[in-house]
Amino acid sequence: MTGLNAIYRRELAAYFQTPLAWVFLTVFAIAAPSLTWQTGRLFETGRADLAPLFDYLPWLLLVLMPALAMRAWAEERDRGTLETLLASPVALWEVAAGKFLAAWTVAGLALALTFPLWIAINWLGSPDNAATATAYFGALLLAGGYLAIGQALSATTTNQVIAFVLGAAACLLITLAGLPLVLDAMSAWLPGAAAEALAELSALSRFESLRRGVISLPDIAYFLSLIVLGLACAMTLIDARRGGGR
Amino acid sequence: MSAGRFIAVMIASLILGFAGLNLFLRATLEGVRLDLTESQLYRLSPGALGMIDRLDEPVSLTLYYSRSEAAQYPAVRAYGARVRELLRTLVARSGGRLILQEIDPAPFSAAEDAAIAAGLSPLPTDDGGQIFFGLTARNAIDEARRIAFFDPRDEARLEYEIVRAITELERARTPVIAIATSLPLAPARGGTASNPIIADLAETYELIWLDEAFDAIPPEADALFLIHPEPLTDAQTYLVDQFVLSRGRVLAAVDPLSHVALKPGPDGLPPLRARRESDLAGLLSHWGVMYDVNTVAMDAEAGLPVQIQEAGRTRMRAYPLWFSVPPAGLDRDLPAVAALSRGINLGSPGALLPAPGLESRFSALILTGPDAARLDVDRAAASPSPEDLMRDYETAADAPLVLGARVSGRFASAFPDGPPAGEGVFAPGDHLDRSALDAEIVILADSDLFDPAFFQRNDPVQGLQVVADNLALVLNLADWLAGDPALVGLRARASSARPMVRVDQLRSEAEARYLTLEDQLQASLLDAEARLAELSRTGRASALGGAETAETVEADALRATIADARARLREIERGFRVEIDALERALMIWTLWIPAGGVILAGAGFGLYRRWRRP
Repeated sequence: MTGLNAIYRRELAAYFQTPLAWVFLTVFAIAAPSLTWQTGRLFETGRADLAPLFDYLPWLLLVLMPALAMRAWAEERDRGTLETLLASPVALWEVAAGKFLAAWTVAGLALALTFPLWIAINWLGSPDNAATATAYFGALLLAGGYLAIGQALSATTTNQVIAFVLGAAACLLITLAGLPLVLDAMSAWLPGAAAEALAELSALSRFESLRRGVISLPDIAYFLSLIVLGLACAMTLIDARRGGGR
Repeated sequence: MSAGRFIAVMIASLILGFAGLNLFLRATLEGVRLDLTESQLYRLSPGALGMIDRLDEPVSLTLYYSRSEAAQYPAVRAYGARVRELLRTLVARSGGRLILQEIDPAPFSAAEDAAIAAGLSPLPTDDGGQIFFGLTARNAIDEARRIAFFDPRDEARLEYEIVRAITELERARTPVIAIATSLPLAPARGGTASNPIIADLAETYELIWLDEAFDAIPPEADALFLIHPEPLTDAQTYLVDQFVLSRGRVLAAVDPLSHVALKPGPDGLPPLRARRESDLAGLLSHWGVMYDVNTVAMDAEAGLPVQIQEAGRTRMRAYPLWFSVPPAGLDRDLPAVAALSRGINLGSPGALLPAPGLESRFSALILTGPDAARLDVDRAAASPSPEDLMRDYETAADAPLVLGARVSGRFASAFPDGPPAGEGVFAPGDHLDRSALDAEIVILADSDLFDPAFFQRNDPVQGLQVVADNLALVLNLADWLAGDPALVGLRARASSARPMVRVDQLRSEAEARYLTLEDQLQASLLDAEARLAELSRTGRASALGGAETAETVEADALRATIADARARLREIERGFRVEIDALERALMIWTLWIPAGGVILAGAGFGLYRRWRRP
């Protein structure tokens, strides 16, 4: 675990020593409340809850999380530091997990920046704070899922922009999977059961229950397995570069 | 195997493993969930669980929800998510017996036609579109029930309404309500009832009308309604007593002063043998309720507006004898009354009290405000003016007064020695000494609440307006008493909507302040306009008299006053939102720019620190 800790600290420091984390946090701090007030029209709902924030958060996360994850492996490969890293006495899983946890920490900080909104709705009325806390927990899991996917796709390329585009596209796919828009298109050439199964794997539908204050075991397992899937894919791709995989 | 192929196989295996694991977990552990909402919003009530567990045949639910149209309406959007979550919870629990399909009816599509054909009521939108947001439930033999529109204001009744729709499909027969009344509520032969409460009841229940001399209560009756009944004979009292012991579901509406009973007919006279008072020949006290037929309740705080003549002018004044019980005065624990949002309008009702020392459980369903008073029924019957009523108005020592109550439990017969002798033919062997099951008796101390005049207003512009929840109250009580036991077990749900109380408070304060100002301005505007009209007439008349200059000056001043008043009125209309907009702007600054500014400052500070530390 020392290796994991070292990688985590190194990665977290790397985020904050470049403008990336600061720009990311600033964009998030502006975008999330803007969507809540302007697009979600928090005031017009007349309800003291953060539903408008959590309505739009998945869409914001699916753009911003791949941006946070894009550098994870692509930058190492581009700078040629990957080989040095892999040659160090740290297990590959510790490297992948350390990178992921560092990015997840930044994502957590970004979510924490919406805390004044939570204070505001408490000032405006008496919200269901347990439900709001559960929704934040769900948002953190969703961000983790997107980050893991972003990291997996970052391992496929040396170009961070390509890593971002691929990551955002994959996150979009897994988000849209449960929407009628996709299901209608899919049902034209997929059997009904397969289309329904696809909908079951949508990140958005899994996030729905959590954002209302309901924690279900399959939903938690879904997000954790999504994170494991992303990290395992990234490790497979990186391990293959190291010469393993056979 | 090449490295590329190995990677492809590995990643495909991982994705398939992920999909398989999650589909398996979803199928097997769907019910393992923890509802962390404060009001347990997403935990199904025991009534709903009982209903689902009892389902024999599959029921298809179709939710028609115009998702894209509703997205523009935050309140509908938020409620849409709530409805869908509840439906999914029900479906997940049903083990396949409830099948949910969601349809987004696009404009001019077959789905929209289907929604209209299913009897759903769309909500028109500002841009000429419409939002469908309703449900149809259909059983295996294609019987259907519908919820025409999910109104966000009815959230507390949401689970109740959905479960009711499903339950009605499941039941083997239409429940029967026997009604005994002295009021002209029964429909003319072969026709539909003119009273909207009775007409609505007849849509869900089979109604059997007992005549004045009834000598039996039909055995198939699930509930008995006694609405301002004729005085009961001993035999009829015995029948009611035995009904309570055997079936246990009774709604009694008694009244010390029934205006609706005395309402003049087409000939201008009250119906023959109309009775102003009713009680139940001692049964109420036997059930544990004290009711004085010589006293009515009044509530000056909640008086309904009535038109009176005062010094030759017609004015609207609050009338303490006819008053409204707001939602705060209703029992929040009983689904049948918990969700009523408009309150109940009553006309000189009686007051109920629990009788001491009885075993039954007495709970108040409808309560007056804290300043209610009692009045002698003879004085109330003499149509006193509001001033007369207020002159010696004295708050009752035991206010708030109970106007409606629920009595439940197991009762002993009011006829311990068996059937009364001499009247009717009863088989002594059928006599019950004690309740066979828990009885539920609802007593309303007013019959006027059945009069449409008390809950509907015919507005010349907007048509028939419902102004109180009297109809909903009786229908809900009927559902509770005669409907499915699963519905009885359904508890009232708290709404997931938490109002922005601070905004509401700000809005109401602004409204109160501005309305006073608006009234003053309107009054001065009317005075100025009247004076100007008068001057115009006089000016024309006196134009030849040379008095034109002074009047013209005054008229100009009046026109300026009118223009100024109108401008200020427009400002007032805008003013309603000024403070709320200011609050919104302030909150946006605090929640948007302060955190973002903080991050920028922290980033700049960190950068400077690093530069300073750098050798």
